[in-house]
Order: sequence, then structure tokens, then C-alpha cells
Amino acid sequence: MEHLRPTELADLPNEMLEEIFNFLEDPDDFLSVIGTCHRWNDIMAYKKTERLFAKVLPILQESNPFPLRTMLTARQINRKWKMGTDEQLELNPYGFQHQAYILEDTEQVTRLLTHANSLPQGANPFLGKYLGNISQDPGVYELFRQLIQQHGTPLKNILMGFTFNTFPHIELASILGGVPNVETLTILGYIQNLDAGGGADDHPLPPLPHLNSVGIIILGMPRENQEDTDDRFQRFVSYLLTAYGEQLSTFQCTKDMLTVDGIGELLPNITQPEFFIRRSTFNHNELQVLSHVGWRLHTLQISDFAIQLSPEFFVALNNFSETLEDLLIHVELEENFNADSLVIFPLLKKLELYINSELRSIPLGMKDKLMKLGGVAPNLEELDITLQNDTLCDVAWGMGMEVMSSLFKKLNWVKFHC
Amino acid sequence: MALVRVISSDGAAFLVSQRLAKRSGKLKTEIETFRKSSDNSEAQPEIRIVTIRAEILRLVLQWLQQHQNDPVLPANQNEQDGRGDAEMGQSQWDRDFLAPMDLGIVMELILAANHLEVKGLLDITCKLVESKITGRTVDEIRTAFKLKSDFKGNEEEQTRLENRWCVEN
Repeated sequence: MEHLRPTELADLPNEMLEEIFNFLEDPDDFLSVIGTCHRWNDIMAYKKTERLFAKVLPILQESNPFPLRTMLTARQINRKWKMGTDEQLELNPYGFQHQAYILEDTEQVTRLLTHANSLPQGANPFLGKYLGNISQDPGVYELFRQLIQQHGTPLKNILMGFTFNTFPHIELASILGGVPNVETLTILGYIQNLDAGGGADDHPLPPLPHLNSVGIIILGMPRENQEDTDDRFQRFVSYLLTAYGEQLSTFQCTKDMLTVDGIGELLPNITQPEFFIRRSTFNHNELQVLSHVGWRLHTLQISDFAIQLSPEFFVALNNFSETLEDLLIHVELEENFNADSLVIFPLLKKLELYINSELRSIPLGMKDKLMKLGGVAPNLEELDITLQNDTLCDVAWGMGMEVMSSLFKKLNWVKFHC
Repeated sequence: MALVRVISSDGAAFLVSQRLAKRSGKLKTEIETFRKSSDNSEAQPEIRIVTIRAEILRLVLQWLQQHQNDPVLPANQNEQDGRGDAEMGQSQWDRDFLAPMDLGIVMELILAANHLEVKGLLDITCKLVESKITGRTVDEIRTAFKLKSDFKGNEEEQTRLENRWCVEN
């Protein structure tokens, strides 16, 4: 008797189809399978709550974020739920378990080291794959380094804070050697604590193929030995960015970075999606550097109350006219804010305004100024307004969400913080 | 009455009034895009939704039909204005609508409501799934979602041990 050979999936028995469909890891593929026909849906119906979880969880998170304990329970249900939950923990470590992995004192880091040592081979001591050290104690820093060297392989996101003025220089090569999978590195501290040691010759930095985001947040400049500090900062930045600058797409910094010679060449690929500049009041020279550095900024956050939104300021930003989509600025409605200035950013999708006005009476023209935004930023999708006093809040509420929404065709998020 | 043909991933076609369809943010955009690109203003738009099967699409349309006179909530309505709370809009009809559903179907409805941008339906389905997870034990969740543990060897114990640091801190 001649055996028939199935030539199409439809000819296969249910058990065999189920075997095949179980190989599809991606929830989107699973959705395509159950969406193809009744039979395939019926075969896989019993797997839906397992296979769709990773796709549903981010939507649930947006609707009403789970507390950490619920996330910890969810990752104990089965492998697919664990995978889906861990993805969310990694995407937003600050939203869940952040505090547990910010090291602050010797007792805490010693306990974490003991915990990590007690885990079975292959376990991950860092849920969210995040670890931060903000302690001012050199002893904690030494234990942090040990922790990373012994257990750092799973880490994807590390923060190193050096806020103590007399801190020894960062042994960057030694720390980064322990985190071969790191994607995000943030260094936070005083300039005088950033030291390349012997630099690239004595301490070459290890390859970190997944690193795509670096932040260097400077907390303060010393008043003494300015030249020596500038020189040291220049060497440190150049040491770090010579090794990794080309592979970075995201960079966070304070405006001090604009003083580094050749910063544009050290970071040639900062094109998207984000570039932050924080704590910055730009003077004329810095604006010149910013506008000529050659980056294609998508995101600019300038969170300084004192910044002057002068015509010069906007002219300097004109180079980002074709790329800027997300802008955060502090404004004083009665003083320095003119919505017309924003017309140079036709792609602007997200605008965050911190309105600093301290007025106790309703400022004339405030409503008109805000309403003008509809005309100058037609592509706005998110408008986030933080108001400093109750009077202004009343005015904002009086304007009504629906009125605001009607001004912006694409707007789907208006948020007032009072 | 202006109509639109909405076609599911498995090929079922639903003829829906444009007024009703436009209560979905996604369908509204699709209809407007069709209008702009079509020379014939009388032509009937046809929208294919490749990620939603007929049974689920029918449930979404049924929910829209029932709620056709409700105010439309913006897709990203935040909670500060008090309208983001699903319970506010949940009627007896909604409870009866969801009651017979398997949680697998509810999860498909969440994905569909999210894709089609139907805020009210998204709220009540998310709320239902969240209520079956938050505050429940591992065994209660497995029972509600008809799940079995598929951890191998010491993986389950390892997961519990990994959690311990966050539980205790």
C-alpha cells in the first residue's frame, strides 16, 4: 500500500501541528497561528494564557503597574511567565526593584554579596539586571567591585556614583571587565573623582559589544586647581569614549561635556533616539559648540530654572530643526516664553513645559500663549505641563482637556501636574 | 449610512457603520487615511486587521455597539482627571459580557482593544486580568489561568531564591 505524504501543514494531525507550534517562541507568531483558522486556534487554545502573557504584561503595566511583589510572584508561575516578567523588570528597573540594588552602606553590600554567593550556578542575583552604587564609602566601592567581578555577567545596567570629594579614582577597566553584557553605563560624580588612572596604555578598557548608552553626570566643579581638573576630565572622557564612543547611540551628560575637545568626533553616531543635556544654562560659547558639534538631536532636556530662552538660544538649536522630537524646557509664562519660537521644530512630538511663574493672579495672555502651541507644533502627541502654583492650576483646568485636545489633531496625552 | 468593511485575520468580513467603527482610534485613522487616498468619496473603505481573529473582532464590535453613546476616552487618558478608572465605566452589561469568558480570550481581547485603541474595553479587560494576578499566590494564579509549572530541575527553587533579595529588601 502506498503511503500518503503530507505536503501541507493542513494535512498534518493535530498532535504534530501542536509540536510544531510549540517551537514558535515569539508571542506574535503564536498570535498569527491562532488567528489563521478555527482548527489551529482550537489546537492551541489551552496555551493562550501562557503564550500571550509576555505580550499582555506591558499593556497591563501601562494600565495599572503591578507592585514588585506581584512581579516576583508572576515570575514563579512558569518559564514563559518568568521570561515575560523578567523582560519588564529589565526594561524598567527603576520602577520596581531599584532600591534593593542601590548600594548605600557596607552592611547592605555585604549581605548582597552573601546572597549572590549562596545562589546556585546560573542564577541571576540582580533582578532587573541592574546595580548601582551611590555610597560615599571607599569600603563599599571595593565590595561593589568584588560583587561585579564575581557575579556581574548578567548585569545590563550599572550606575556608579562618586559623590565623595576625596574618593580614589575609578578603576573603570577593572569594573567593566566584570560586566561583559552591560548595555547602559551611568557615571555620576564630581569631576575631580573621575580619573583615567594611567589611561588606555596602563588600563585598556575591555570590549563591551552590547554597550549603547552612557551617561556622565557631573555634580560639581572644584573651585581650586581649575586647569588640572579640566585636564583630568578631558583625559577621562577621552579614555572612555575612545573605547566606546562609536558604538553609542544614547548619551546623557551635563553641559560640561561641551568643554571636551573633539566631543563631536568622540561621539560620531549620536543620532537617535535620545540625547540629554541636563542642568544647563548655556552661555554664548556653549551654544556655539552645541550647534556645531554635528549631532542630530532627537531629545533635548534642559532643566534649569535660570535659562534664558533668548532668540540666540533658539538660533543655536536651529541645527536640530530636522530631528528634534522631544523638548523639555523651563519657562516663565509672563517673561520668557514665546510659543512662536517652537516653530523651528516641525517634528516636535513631545513637549514638557515646567512653568515657573510665581504669580498669584491670573496672568494676562497665559491662555493665549498656551493655545498658540496648537499652531506652531502641529505634530505634538504628548504635552506635559508642570505648574508651580494653585492659581495657574485653576487656569489650566479651566481651559479644559477637550479644548486642548481639539487644538492638536495628533495629541493623545495631556498631563497637568499641579 | 456610510459603512466600512472590517476583515479579520481569518478572513471574516464585518460590515460596520463608520460612526461605530470610528469609536476605535485605529479604525478611525484607517478610515481617514482611506478617504484621503481614495478618488471616489463614495467608495466603501475596507480594513484588514491581520492580528485579530473573527471571534475576537466580533466581541470588540459587540462591546462598541453596546457603548456607542458613551463619551470617547483618549487613548492615553491619565488618571489625574479621574476618568481613567475602569470601574467608573463598568456596567452590569460589561460584567455579564466578561463573565463567561476564558482568561485566554480575555487576554486576546486586551491585545485587540490595545491594537484598535478602544480605551474603555481595554480598561475593563485589564482590570479583570489584574484582579486574577495581584495579591494571589502562585497556585491561585496557576489555577485561574489553567497553567502548569514547566520549570525543570531546580529552576523553580532557583527563581524563589533569586526573589528573596527583593522580598527582604
